[in-house]
Amino acid sequence: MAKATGESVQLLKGTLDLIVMKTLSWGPMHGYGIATWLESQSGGALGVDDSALYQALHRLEAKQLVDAEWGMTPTNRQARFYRLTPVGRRHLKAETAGWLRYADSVRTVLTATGR
Amino acid sequence: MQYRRRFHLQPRSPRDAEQDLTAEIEAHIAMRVEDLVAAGETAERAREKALARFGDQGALRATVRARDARLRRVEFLDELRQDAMLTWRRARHARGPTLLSVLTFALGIGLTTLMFTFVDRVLMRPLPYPDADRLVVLQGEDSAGSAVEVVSWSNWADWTENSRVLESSAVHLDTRFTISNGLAAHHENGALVSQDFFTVLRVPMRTGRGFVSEDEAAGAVVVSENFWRRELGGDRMVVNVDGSALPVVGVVRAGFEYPQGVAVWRLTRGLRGTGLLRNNINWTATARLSPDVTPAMAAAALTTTARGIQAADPESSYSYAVHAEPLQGTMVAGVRGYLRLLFAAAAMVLLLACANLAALNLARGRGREGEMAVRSALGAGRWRITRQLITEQVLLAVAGGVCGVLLATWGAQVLSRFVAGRLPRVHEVAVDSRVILFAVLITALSALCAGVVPALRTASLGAARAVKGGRSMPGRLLVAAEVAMAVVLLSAGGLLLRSYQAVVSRDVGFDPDGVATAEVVLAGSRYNDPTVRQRFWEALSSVPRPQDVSAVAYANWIPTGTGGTSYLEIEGAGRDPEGASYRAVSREYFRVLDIDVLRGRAFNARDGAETQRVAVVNRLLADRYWGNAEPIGKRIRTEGMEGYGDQAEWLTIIGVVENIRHDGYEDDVSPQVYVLYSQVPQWTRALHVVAKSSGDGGAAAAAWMTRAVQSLDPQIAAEPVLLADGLRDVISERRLTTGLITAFAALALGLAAIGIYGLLSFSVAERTREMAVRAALGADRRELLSMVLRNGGVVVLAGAAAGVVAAHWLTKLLQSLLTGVTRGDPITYVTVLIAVVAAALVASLVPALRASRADPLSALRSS
Repeated sequence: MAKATGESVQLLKGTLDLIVMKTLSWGPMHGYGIATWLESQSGGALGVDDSALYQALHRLEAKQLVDAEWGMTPTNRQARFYRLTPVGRRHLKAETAGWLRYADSVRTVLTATGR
Repeated sequence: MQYRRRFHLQPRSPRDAEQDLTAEIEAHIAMRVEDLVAAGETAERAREKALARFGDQGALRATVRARDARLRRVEFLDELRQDAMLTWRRARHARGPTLLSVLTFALGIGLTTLMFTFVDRVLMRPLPYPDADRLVVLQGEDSAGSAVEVVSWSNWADWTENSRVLESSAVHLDTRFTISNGLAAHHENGALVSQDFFTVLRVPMRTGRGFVSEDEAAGAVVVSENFWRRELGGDRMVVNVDGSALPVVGVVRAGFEYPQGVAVWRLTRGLRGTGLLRNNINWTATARLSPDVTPAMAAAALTTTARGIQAADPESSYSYAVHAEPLQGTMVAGVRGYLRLLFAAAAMVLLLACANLAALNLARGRGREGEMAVRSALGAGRWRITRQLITEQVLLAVAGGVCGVLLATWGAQVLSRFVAGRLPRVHEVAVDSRVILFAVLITALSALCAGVVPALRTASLGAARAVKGGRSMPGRLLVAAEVAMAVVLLSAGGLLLRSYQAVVSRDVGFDPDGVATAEVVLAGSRYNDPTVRQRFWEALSSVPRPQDVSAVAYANWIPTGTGGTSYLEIEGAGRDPEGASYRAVSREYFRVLDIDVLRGRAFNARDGAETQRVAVVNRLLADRYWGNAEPIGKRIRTEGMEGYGDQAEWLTIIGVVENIRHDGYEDDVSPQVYVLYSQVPQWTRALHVVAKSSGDGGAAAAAWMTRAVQSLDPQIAAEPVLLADGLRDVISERRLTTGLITAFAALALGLAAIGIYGLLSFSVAERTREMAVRAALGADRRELLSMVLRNGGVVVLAGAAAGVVAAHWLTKLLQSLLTGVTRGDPITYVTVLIAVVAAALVASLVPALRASRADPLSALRSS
């Protein structure tokens, strides 16, 4: 989908992991599925390389926040499906809450109207 | 990950992880291409775009690989911990076998380490002096071409003067000094040395220096640090040696004494001259080679000089060539053979121990087939199972190694105390870092031999589960090898024992029972006059003695002490090439030592300073020159205290006595000449006093000796020892070696017996069903019994036969230690075989009985 429109957004460190986990919170999905979902959701603005996505997935796997298994896609293709582990699910919940709190405070500060 | 861990499954192999990733990337690209093509791109363009969109594959691969490696490391350690836990659980479960394994490792590793401690310290480690590899001993060569260990001062001085191959050179002569503190006197081991002695060795000094030429005029000594602290309070720098007060110019740092055990070194100036003086060989010559000069080069250069001397002075007997032997080698020459033999024997015990454990592990592995099969079914890979088995063996070996090092530490203490003063370079034999390193090395090797091979085999069995039947070929081979090694060690021990027996049952020609001896040195200026010395000896003989001290005599040399060979000339027959032991003795000498007079008479009261010079010779000398003819009345001439060459008087033979082995059991008999001390023209300051009290083993004689010398002069030291002890001492190396090798052999036999027991037990256990079926089919107990015994018998006999062949070949190494027994001694081999068969029978009995009790009903039940 190349650089579609608008500017791409530089992701904050650790945010990609969180977003990937969020993607998986609705059910197991393979890497390509996650990539296309991210593209459709952000309109390509996130500008994440596919390889970076896989880095994140394998990182999460090593931390045992997700695990993976080979399976079949609806188009009858072998793919590696990722799934949130229970630990991953708890982690996602905690991190999301934290991130939102952080984003709120940043927004509050940035939109303040002086004294 | 979780389930994998729970069931001890193997980790993902590195190839799997990479292949996984490749497949994943491929799938990803393929799906994107599919979507792009569906959106109207050409296939080629779509692929290009997909790849571009994917980004850096290399970086991804690298990260994944690194993470995977880290993961595997963690997993490996984790599994190692599990294996260790598993081993621990098994060890607690099967205490007997575990203890046996650890003990076997400990014995093998311990003994080998112990022997290495000595071999390393005595044979391998360089001497503690700087550039010790440049230190050599110089030896002359006689007309027969053999090296003579000692040199004359004259030869040494002439060879080495202005030599360019030697940086420095010195001679020394071991002796004993009388040290007096004004109240009492005692003996110390000492050495007379030439001026450069300490320069040659570069002996480190605690304080002071070695000798310089200015010391010659007044005389000087160097003392050992130990002596300095003990006798001089660690500060006084003057000491009374042999009756004269001498300045102490240096103190040798502890541990650097050479020759070993010397406490006092006294500077001396030798007699340099030609003719017979050149043949007066008493000195040991050491030298430091010039840089980049090899011993061979030095020997060649010095030989040229020596030949020149020989040509100019034809009388000289020991200047045909010069040998330069490394100092370290000559120091340990006497014990090298024994030490190597002991090390080899210990190594063989270790090898046997490993074979034993390997066989046990093989058998046990077969017993664990079930466990292996279950684990393999649960998904444990072959490598994983093998690793578990190896971990188990390594842990057992390490436990054994630790015990072995403790054993070696303790053994080194005990043994070094035992051999102190006899074994060169054994000041502080102790287990140190080098020894520990060696122990670690052999522990690793042992674990490998004992554990890894059987483990690999067991693992493959576990995976295949294809083996049936009761005969484990490798197991049987290992046990046969054990039997063979035990036979080799037993044969070596047996031959040494027989030699020992043969040696101690030799007639030494004298009776040491109850004889006490002491060297008495008449030190000090009051004894400068020979007649004063003669009066002292006569007075000593007449000091009243208790009833049980039956006789007293004195002599220049007595058996088992030092002694030398003198020139010997037979009237009418010329010079004897071998020379003779020259003994100046007092009248009672033959009676005290119980030496038989065979012909003529011993010295008696009619022989004196004023009468005809007479001599007594031994049987060998009489037989050599006169055979059946009458030796009495014939005349001989010798040196010793007689003066040189033509100055020596002719001596008339008055008697023939039995040969004695002067140096004890191991000595060969040489021609011996006895003269009467009161007739000799040159009296010495030092004589050995002998006295006999048979009733109490010599205690009374020794006590009287000390008292008598004290009563005549308290400044003279007498430190009596028992002749029987001296006689025992000369074979102490042989006794110790024989004892140790025999102990090793017994241990080897025990290990082999355990091996046989293990092999048969496992095979019986494995064949329980077969036995039961046989019993059910009517085989009686005796048949079952003999079946098992036959099974073991084949292994034992094969091993024993191989062992005998190997022993016959390997005992070549023993040849030099064998006395009075040949290498093929049938009695030894028959005894060894009987012992092996007996041990094998005992070991087979329990499993055989178990088999014979096989229950026919169990066959029905289990099928």
